[in-house]
Amino acid sequence: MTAALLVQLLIALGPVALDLAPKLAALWSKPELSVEEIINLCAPSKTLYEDYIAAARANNVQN
Amino acid sequence: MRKLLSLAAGLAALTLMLTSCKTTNLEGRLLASTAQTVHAAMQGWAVWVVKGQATEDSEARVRAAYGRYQLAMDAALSCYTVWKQTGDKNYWTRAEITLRTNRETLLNLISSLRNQPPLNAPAVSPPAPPTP
Repeated sequence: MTAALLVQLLIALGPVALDLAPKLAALWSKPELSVEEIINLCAPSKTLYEDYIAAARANNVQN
Repeated sequence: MRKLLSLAAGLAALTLMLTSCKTTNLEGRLLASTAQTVHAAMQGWAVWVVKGQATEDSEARVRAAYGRYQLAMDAALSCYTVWKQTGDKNYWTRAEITLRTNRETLLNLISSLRNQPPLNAPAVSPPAPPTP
């Protein structure tokens, strides 16, 4: 992943991406990461496409 | 303005960490960074869809690209676990390349679709002729 692509995404995605930078910073600043921790951090990749839409829709209704 | 500053600070910190040479478990961190980045990208994409800014075609393209990314991530995680348990890095090396390709495809697709003019943007009409 290039820094340029990351910056491009941050600009394109707006507010949602604002949470990403501190999360990545926390991930890279931790001295040690076990295999289990890596697996847990990768858990969002199991999210279904429809669940993203449903969550955004629910959030949209609340706001 | 505060959001922009915190974003800039976060990016600066991230750049420092990414360029730091004393990092343990680099591959695992890259794997987790991929998952977190794609997660944020998909959340942003979903907001775009719910706001009615995406066409059916673009939704289908992102859905398909995300499906391919999920398969690649599953395989990469399995190979990463095998590598860490057995020391056999062969499968991981190949799986990591596939994951990287699918990640870049998905992120570039979302980024390019988000940069297109929104569906409900007012049509651009030619300027009115000058009145005499």
